[in-house]
Amino acid sequence: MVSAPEHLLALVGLGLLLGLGGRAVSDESLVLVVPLALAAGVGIARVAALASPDRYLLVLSLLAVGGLVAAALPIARSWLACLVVGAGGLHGVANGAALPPELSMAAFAAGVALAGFLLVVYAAELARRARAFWARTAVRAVGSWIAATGVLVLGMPR
Amino acid sequence: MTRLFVVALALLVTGPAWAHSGAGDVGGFAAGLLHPVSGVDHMLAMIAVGMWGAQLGLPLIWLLPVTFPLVMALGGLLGGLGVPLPAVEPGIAASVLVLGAMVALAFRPPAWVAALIVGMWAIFHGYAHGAELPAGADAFTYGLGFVIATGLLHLVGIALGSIIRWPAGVTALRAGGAAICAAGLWLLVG
Repeated sequence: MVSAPEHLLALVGLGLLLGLGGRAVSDESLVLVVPLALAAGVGIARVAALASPDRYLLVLSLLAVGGLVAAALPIARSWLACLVVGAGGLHGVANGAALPPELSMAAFAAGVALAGFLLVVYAAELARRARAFWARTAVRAVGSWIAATGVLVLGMPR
Repeated sequence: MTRLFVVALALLVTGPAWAHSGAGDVGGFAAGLLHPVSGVDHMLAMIAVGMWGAQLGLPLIWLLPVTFPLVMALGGLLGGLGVPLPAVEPGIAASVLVLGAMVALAFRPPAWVAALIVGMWAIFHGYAHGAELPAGADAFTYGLGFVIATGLLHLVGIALGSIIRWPAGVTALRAGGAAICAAGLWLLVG
């Protein structure tokens, strides 16, 4: 489920955003918040029988995450935490809403959380190691591509 | 040798195993990926952006290709929503002409002017693509393919522009820009 492009882009974008801060992934506790938020979202969607969030909400997360990576502005840690919890939870709900009833929620949530964690860790470490000017700009370019994909989706017929 | 022959023969007669066929809407991604390369006018303009960026050097070599897809997506949004924009096709042809001329003249404006020039023409390209967005395709996979293709075309332009490190390459790059400019003129009057 995490492999769907809307989730993949958001998680890669979150990882890049966390990595742009320059802290080592092993020191970055927010990296651990992402899988927790994803798992919580899956659980909430299943328990409350929520429908998948509106496409525009998912696009909004792409715009926020991609735009912040592209801008590479310093962000307060509290705001970053809100974004991680909000985006992680939202995409967790989207995954949980698509969970077939015959599947185990715990196993599914664990799988989604693990896949999300790996994506975020790899993206964060990649961004953290991007020290050269061109490498940091390439990371920002990827952010702009994530945001551009979101903008383009807004104009597409449902 | 016999083993190698047997392996080669086995590979030749075996059909590919399409694991996960259809997963993630491959058609939407492929359609998005192919859309920007389906028109020579779009291709030339995007390659010219990369060439101009390479000519201008840091930081514009990277900033122009960042600007173009983002503003183009805004144009796509306008096109998708049906917001009227006059003279779209002449605008696209003019963009090929102007961007080619920028490379041919080795024009070096301030960074914000260069970004403005690129962004202004990106609106026309995005609008044309947005107005043609297929209703059936998955929005996210299509959009992702579309943006990646656009970025890769810029990278082609940057790669072509890297010939600027050789003295003859400076002239060759400007000649390439002149050729794109001429193509833009042909598109405009043709």
